[in-house]
Amino acid sequence: MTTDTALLAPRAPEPAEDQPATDKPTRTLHRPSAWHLALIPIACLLLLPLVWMLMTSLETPVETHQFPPVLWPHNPRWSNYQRAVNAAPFFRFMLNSAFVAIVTVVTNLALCSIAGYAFARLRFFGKGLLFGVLMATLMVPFQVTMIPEFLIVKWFGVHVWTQLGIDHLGALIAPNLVTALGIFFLRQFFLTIPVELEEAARIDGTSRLGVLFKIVMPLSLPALSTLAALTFLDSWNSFLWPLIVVTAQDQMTLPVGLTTFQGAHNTQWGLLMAANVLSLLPMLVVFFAAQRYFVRSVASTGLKG
Amino acid sequence: MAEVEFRAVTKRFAGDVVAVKSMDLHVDDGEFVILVGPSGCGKTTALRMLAGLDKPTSGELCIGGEVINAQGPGERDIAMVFQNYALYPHMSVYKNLAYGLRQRKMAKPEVDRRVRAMSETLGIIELLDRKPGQLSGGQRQRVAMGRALVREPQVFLLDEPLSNLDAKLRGQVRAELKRLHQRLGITSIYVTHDQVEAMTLGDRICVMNHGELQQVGTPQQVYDSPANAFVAGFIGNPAMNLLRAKVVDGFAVLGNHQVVRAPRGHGEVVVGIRPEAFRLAPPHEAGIQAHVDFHEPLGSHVLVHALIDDVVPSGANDSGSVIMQASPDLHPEPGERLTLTAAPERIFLFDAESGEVREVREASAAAPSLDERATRA
Repeated sequence: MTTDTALLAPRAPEPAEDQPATDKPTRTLHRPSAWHLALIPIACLLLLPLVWMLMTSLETPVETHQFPPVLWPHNPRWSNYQRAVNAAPFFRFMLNSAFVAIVTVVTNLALCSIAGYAFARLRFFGKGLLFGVLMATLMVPFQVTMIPEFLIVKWFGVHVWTQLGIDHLGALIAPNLVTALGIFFLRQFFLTIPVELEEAARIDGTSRLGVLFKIVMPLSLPALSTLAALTFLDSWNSFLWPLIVVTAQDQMTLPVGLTTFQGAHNTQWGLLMAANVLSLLPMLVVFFAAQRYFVRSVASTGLKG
Repeated sequence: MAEVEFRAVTKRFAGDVVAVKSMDLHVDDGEFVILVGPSGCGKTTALRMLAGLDKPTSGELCIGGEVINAQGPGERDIAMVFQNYALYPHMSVYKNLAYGLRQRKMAKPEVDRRVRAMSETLGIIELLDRKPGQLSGGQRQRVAMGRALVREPQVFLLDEPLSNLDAKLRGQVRAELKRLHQRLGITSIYVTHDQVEAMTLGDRICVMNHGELQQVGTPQQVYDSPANAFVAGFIGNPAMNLLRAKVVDGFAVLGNHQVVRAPRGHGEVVVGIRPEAFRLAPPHEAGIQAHVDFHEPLGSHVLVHALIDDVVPSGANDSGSVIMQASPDLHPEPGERLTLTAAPERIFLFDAESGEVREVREASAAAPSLDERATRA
């Protein structure tokens, strides 16, 4: 309130009812406020690990082991990047990661949409119970299910299709084709879409699936983009599951592959950080591409306009 | 275009709520029929069942003589305008109009021709490239009608299409709707809770309450001969005055005045008198004694709110307060005494329990005092 009055005071001659509309963009976009005093240091703190990683990726092995850490290398070693890429089949890791992430994103968008729509709009026997069970699975930590999951994947590899088994990329994709969180997330968003739109489309001669693909999904772009980004980041960063099911180097994803630089006795920090920086880049691209949808889907859920 | 029929259609929702109770209705080819009633009376459910959006619990729905219960909404060749228009927000006006046609695999040039012709008719041709979010309420309404009509459906369903418009626009669109129906002649079923819309638009009105059809008839029939107290109170603005009256010596008595002859064997009846049926009694003549509460000048006429003396309020709808429509030169002061009367043929008697209308005309013929008093207006 105090900032409001301070800002409004010099403009006293203007008609009062004009001010809220004309004032708002200026105040929120350009004027520094007291909040920035707190936000800027916090932003710096959050940026520190990133900067540290970037700097370490340019340091010599000696510099990486110094304490207090060297925050500005004397002679940036760009060759760390070259060596990191050559030291391990880096592009293979990246390709594997990208393949797993893209397939997971596509299947999640398709399957979570269909399941989420069914839970949001269709009436079928046991719907409430089924949804309850689905939600309950969200509360079980991965550490509890990873051994049974491993055994199931192993069985699938032996009895159904080798590509789904241990040491294959299929083992990384199959358990993540669809997620309970994705179903829940899309169901909640679909519930906010006015049902009359779907009824109008049905009267216009659209099938149930047609309604989902032609009406509901185009209206859910913010939610779908958010889910795509979250799924992509989750898959790209996934470490524990690939570590368990993949041991062959040519099937490794980036996070597992990067452990190659970490030995039992000696870690090549410069190379590891250079590889890390490279592995971060696609994620940054995805994040910035989807950022405006993140913000919108958080801000506009339930306020369809 | 086709005729529509409801055959003993019942809709029961979970928890045994009966939304529509054994509804029988025949709508002729090209007729404009209004379903009107208070909220929760089942009118929208009836419409949704016809559209295929809700399934009837029992009974048959027919369009063009064919039972359509098993058909999905897309197969029934109906079009519907929703209360909130339900325009597809991600499509331009053109695509909104073309969507239903494209879904039916119509060739592109024909779609284009129809969309443009309909946009001309409705005056929305310059809006074709806009998205629904960029339109005003009235424009959206027109696009919604266009989207429904462009398909040239057999039956046109409208679910309170004017309720989101302001009063002035509502009047305009109402007139447009009437003109459009006269021109296109599509069988139309229109749901509203607004009795002015019902009276002005419909060839016939179906008044509903508690899931049951109370009366079906032309607007004038429903207005002139309401089947029961509910219809009488619902149709007409301001509403008909409904007053409980004791039956003494074969007359319904209001405020110590014998208003009209009543059938014997009833302790109480409900007397119904429309505001415009009330007249001021000539001086020194008997009538219903009342005093003015307040009056509302409306330019063309005045609504006088009066309280009848010696009436004990007997229910929520009966506080002894009546409304009289009078000529604009009447400016009664609050508290001023009035003697009211009405021509007996314009007085209705309803059963106090069932609300059903009592035959009053022959009975009241033998009430000369009222006949004489009604001469002055």
